[in-house]
Order: sequence, then C-alpha cells, then structure tokens
Amino acid sequence: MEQKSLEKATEILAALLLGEPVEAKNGKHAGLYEAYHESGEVNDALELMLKKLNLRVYEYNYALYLTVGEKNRVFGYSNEDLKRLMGLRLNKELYLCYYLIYQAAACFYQDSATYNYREYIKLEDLLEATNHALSGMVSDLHRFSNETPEETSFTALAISWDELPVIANEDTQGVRAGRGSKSGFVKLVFNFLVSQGLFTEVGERYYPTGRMHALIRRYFEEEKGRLYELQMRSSKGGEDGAAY
Amino acid sequence: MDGTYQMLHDIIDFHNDRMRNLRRYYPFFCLQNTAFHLFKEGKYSFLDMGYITLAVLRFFIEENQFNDRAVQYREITDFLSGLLIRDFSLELPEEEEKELIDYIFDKIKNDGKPFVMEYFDPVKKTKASVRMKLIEATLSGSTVLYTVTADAIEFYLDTKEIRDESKINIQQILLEKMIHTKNFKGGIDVIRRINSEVNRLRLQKREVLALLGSNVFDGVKALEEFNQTGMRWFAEEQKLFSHNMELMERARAKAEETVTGEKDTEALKGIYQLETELKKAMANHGELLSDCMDLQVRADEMIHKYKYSRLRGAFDFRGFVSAAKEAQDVTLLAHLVEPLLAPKLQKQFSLLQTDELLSVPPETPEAAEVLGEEKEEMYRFDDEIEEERISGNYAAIVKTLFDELLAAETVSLSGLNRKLELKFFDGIFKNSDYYSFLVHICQKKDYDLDAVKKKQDTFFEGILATLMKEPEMHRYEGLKFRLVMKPEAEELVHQIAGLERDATFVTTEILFERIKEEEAG
Repeated sequence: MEQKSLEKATEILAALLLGEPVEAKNGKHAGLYEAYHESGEVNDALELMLKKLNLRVYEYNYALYLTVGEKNRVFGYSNEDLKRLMGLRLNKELYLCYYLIYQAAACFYQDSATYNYREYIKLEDLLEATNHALSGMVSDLHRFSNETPEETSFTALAISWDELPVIANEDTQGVRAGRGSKSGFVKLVFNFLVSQGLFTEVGERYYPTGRMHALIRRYFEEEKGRLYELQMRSSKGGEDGAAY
Repeated sequence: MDGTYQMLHDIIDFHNDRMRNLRRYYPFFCLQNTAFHLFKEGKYSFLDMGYITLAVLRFFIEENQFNDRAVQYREITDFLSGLLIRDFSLELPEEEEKELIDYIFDKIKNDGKPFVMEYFDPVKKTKASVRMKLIEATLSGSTVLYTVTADAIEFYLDTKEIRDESKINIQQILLEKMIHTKNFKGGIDVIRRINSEVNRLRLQKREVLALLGSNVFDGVKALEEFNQTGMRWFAEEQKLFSHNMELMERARAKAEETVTGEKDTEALKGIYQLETELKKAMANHGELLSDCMDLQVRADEMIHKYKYSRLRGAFDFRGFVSAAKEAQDVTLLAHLVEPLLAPKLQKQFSLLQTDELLSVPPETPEAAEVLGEEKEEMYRFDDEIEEERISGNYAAIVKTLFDELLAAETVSLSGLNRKLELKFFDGIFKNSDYYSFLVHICQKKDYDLDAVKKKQDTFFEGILATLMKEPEMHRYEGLKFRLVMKPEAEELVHQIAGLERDATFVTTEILFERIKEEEAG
C-alpha cells in the first residue's frame, strides 16, 4: 500500500471524526470524497482503520457519514455522558429522551426503507406524535395500574410523560428547553439532535439532515438481522417472564 | 348458596369496573375539599371550589364542543374573573385577582398531572390506582390550548343528564317529549347535547386513527370497541332523527295554521330555530357517518400496509419498539439511538460532578496492610559456603599449630600431624583443606599476627586476620613464627588408616619456629 493512500485515508477518518462534511459537492473535503470514491487503495485503508476502531462509514447522496455503532467504548457515550450532555439527572428522563428521538425518526421513517416524504417537523408535531404513541399506554393507566412500575418499563415512561404539564409557565414567551414540561423536553431533545448533526433548525422547523437519512437507511438496513434477533429474544423473554 | 355466590361475584369481580366509573367523580371531590384556607391565610375560604369546577367544565364544553374551538389561557382568566364578580361579588385589584385565578386553574388542571385515586383491587389483591384528568393541554405554535377531556364531559353529563350506551338516542327521546310539550327552547339545548355527543364520537374516531398509526394491534382493538359502542346505533339514530324531523314539520304546520297573537309568533320563531338546529344536527350526524366509513377504509388500508411492510426486507422501527413495549424494556431504545450519535471526542471532567462530590459518602478508612516482621532472607552462594568451610577448617588447624607454638619453640609438621590426628583422627588427612592449608601457609616464610591484622598479603593472611577478630584468639596476639624447610628435603611419609590402597601421603618436613621478642626486636 502506498504511503499516499494511507495518508488520504487518515485524512478522511480525521475529518469524519471531527464531524466535518466529506461530500462531493462544495465543502473543503470534496477532494477527499473523490479519493475515497476513486481509489481502491484509499478505500481499503479507510475500511481497515474503521474496522479496528469499531466504526462504520456509509455513503449516501454523494457524501460520507460516520457512525460509532453500539457500545463503542472509545467514541460511544455512556448513559452518564448523555445525561450530562443533555442536562438530565435521572435515567428515566434519559429513556424519555430516547423515546422522543425514536419518535422524531418515526415521523419520517416507518421502517428503514419507507420515507414519509415529510420535509420537516415542528416542536408540537413531535409532542403530538408522542402523545398519540403513548395514548394507548396512558389509557391503560386509566383503567388500572399497580404499584410502582420498574424504572426501565414503558409503563414508567408513559407515566412520567403523562404527568408532565405541557408547558412550565404560561406567561413566558416561546418554549425553553427543560425538564419541567413536555414541550421543554421536546425542545431539549431537538437541541440535542441539532448538536449531533441529525437535524437542522430553520425558524422553529426541524429538517432531518443527510446524516440522519444515511444512518437510518443504511445502518439499520445493514443491522436489521441482529436487531431482529434482539427483538425476538426480548419478546420471548417477555413471554417467559409472564409465565412465572 | 347461589345468592351468596352472585353477591360475591358482584362485590369482587365488578369492583374494578365500579371504581373506573367512580374515578370520574374523584377530581370533583378532591377539588371540593381543596379548601381555600391554605391560600392567603384563608382569605378566600368562602369560595366554593366545587361550584367553580363545574362552571369551568361547562365553559369548556361550550367552547370545545359547541363552538368547536380550544380555549386559551386568557379566555379562562376572563371567564373566571367574570364568575368571581358575578357569583361571589369579589372585585379585586388586578394583580391579586390574577394570582387567585392562577391558583384556581392550577388546582383544576392539577398542575398538568392526572388526579390519581388509589384503591384495593380485590381480584389481584393489590393496591391499584385509577387516573383521570379534567383539562388537557396541547401546544399550538407558542400558545397553549386547553380542551376538556372526554372523561370530564361524561362526568359533567352524569351529574344531571342520563347515561346510556347511545346518548344520542336518549336525547332524541327527550327531544320528542319536548316537541310534544312545545318546549322548543329546551329542545334546542337537547340538540346541542346531541351535537356534543356527535363531536365526541368524531374525536374518538380521530384517536382510533392515531392509534392505528402508531400501533396496529392496539388500533384494531380500539376500532372494534368503537364500532361496538358508537357505530351500531347509527341506524336507530337515523330513524329517530327523521321521526323528530317529521314531528317538527307537523308542529310547524300546525303552528302556522293557528298563529294569531304575539305569543304564537314567539312560539313559531322557536320552532324555526329548533328546526334549523335539528337540520344542522342531522348534517353533523351524517358527517359522522361518513367519517366512520372513512375510518373503516383507512383502517383497512393501514392494516394492509402494515402487513406488506412486515414482509419487506427493511428494518421495521415500529415493530422493534412494539416488541420493546411488550417486553417492558425501554433500554432497548438505546439500540436505535446510539448509532445515530456523533463520535464522542471530548473527554473532560464535568462540573456537574462537583455536586456529586458533596453527596458521595466519605470513604471508609482503609486498614493498612499488616506486614509481619520477616527475617531478611540471607542468600548464601556456593563459594561463600566453600569459603566458610575453608576458614572453619583452617581455624581448627591454625589453633592447633598456634597452641603448639605457644608451648614449644619449634614445631615440626610431623609433630603437628600427630597432634591433629589425635584431635580430629586421621580423617583430617582425607580432607583436601589440610593440603590446601599447607600450600597456602608456605607462600610466606614468616608471619607476624599483629602485622597481619593491619595488612594481609596472601589469601591465608586474609583468613588469619578474620580469625584474629574472634575473642578466643586474643591469646595468640603478638605471636610471630617462621617456616623453615628442611634443606635435605626429608620426606615425610604418613600412613592414613582406613584407606586400602596408596594410603600414604608424602610431604616435605617443615619446621615452624616461634620468633622470640628479643630476636624480632
């Protein structure tokens, strides 16, 4: 392998790790994209480094996007990291944020191949979508709920969502990110998603970025087998649990 | 026996249903008991929260159901302010009034949380709870809109109106009665209630659709329930509507024929109004019917689409989350979120951890490891062992020699040999140290033990110097002697006992002569 190819591959990796766009059109790294695309050696060198670092790169719409996958001990976040990053204190708040992130993605994608052709979502859309999605569980709560549910259960998640007021204070103008209300939580999650390069905000409208599309389509497409297995195992576990 | 069984069945198995129905009343009594005496030191304890709650509900029903619009916070404050002045003659300065109204409204919406009523579930024999909200809030743009919940409407209607599976039918019968008794104004109220019920059903339809969108299985269940409770009354309702319309037309014709005085004109006006309202209600009802048809079609579509998407080779997010819901494990969501995150590059100490520093319990002092007193291990190498042996053997021979020299002036080697043999038996002649001793001692002609202590010229002198440090050697201090080899090279042959062959050794005879003081001087 030539020294030059290795150099290029390292440059690509560095740019991706720093979150700089590596894409064909404009952008300062257009040359890097070209090298990736045209040189087999650069491609191989990059793949090799990625494999060793437990990272993956996807090409989508003439651009490269990096994912750290799951449980990456170097580049991944622990629960504590995420809580710190989002300004949360409790695990159940983090799980609620997870759910909101899933809902935000589900507004655009039903599955990894079906795009809803929606351009953007607003804060209240996500709030409404979450209300609807949890309404089944919340109405179950109307019927009966026993004792304190486990922290990691969906029942606990539905309760903590249901018990939040829509807005913390009527008098203030606009919505502020915070843990005290539904809208505050949604805003907090959107701020986080924007900081992660998954959405861009224009006038309170949130547009999914190429990175978001790329990861949803490619990563989950590739990982569906493993995730499906996980899903089967968890539902089986649920049944087993019910039997005892 | 049967009677008792039936009674127990009623008590235990239906208890949950009863509590579910009772929960509608729970918020009211909670609020009724919310004494104002905790607020502003009981300044407003004359206000009746129960009355205010019912009034607010009615206001919401008016706005949400009849006018079909959500309520903003400002409108609620206007309404409550009017109520306080009208019913309680309470005119307050603006600031204080706002504070009071905020307090009242916060109580009614329970700070956005549901009212939770706990009770004992006799079937599962555990504590269970039921929940209910009166007012729901939604966000539209940057304003919050309030709507009354379906449960709250039901509660409100429960307090006076009659409940049945189809409220529309009951209201129609009521309407029929009102037309017969010519109470047209009351009839308009009834029609409004019919409209509100129709609106409620349409709302429910929307909920079913939303549920279908998020979870097909739950959605299908809700759809079935909706069909059973809502839609099966349609035919009957339609029949009653046309029946009432007929009645109205007859009443109008009759009134038009007999109209004479002002009173009749008033009545006729009432009839017209009622007729228009009834027509509106029928149109509304018709819309509900088409809505429901639409619901059925869209539900079928959604179910079909869902079946199709399950067969495709894509990753199904919703399927994954429903499985996680079934397993009641939110941590599975991390599998969906983690891959989307950007690489974590900053590794730094978080300031938030300083908070934790305060809450972390002090560490229990660790007991120091106790080290027993261990003797330092002495390593002895082979040559050291050897040296030790040599110096030990030399010491024995040297002591014998010196003792002899102290006793006699001259000691011959053969004499020394005899002495040694007496002391150590002839085994000593089998010892190689004896021979090496002879070799070493012959390296110098004369020895001065005092000088040896200061300076050692040979290996043998080195050993001598070490020996001289021992206290028992003090008696040899100052001893000087010389070695004289016999010039005629007399050979000394010594027989060694116990050895069979060649058991002799031959050395040159040596004389050890003590040097006297004066001689040395």
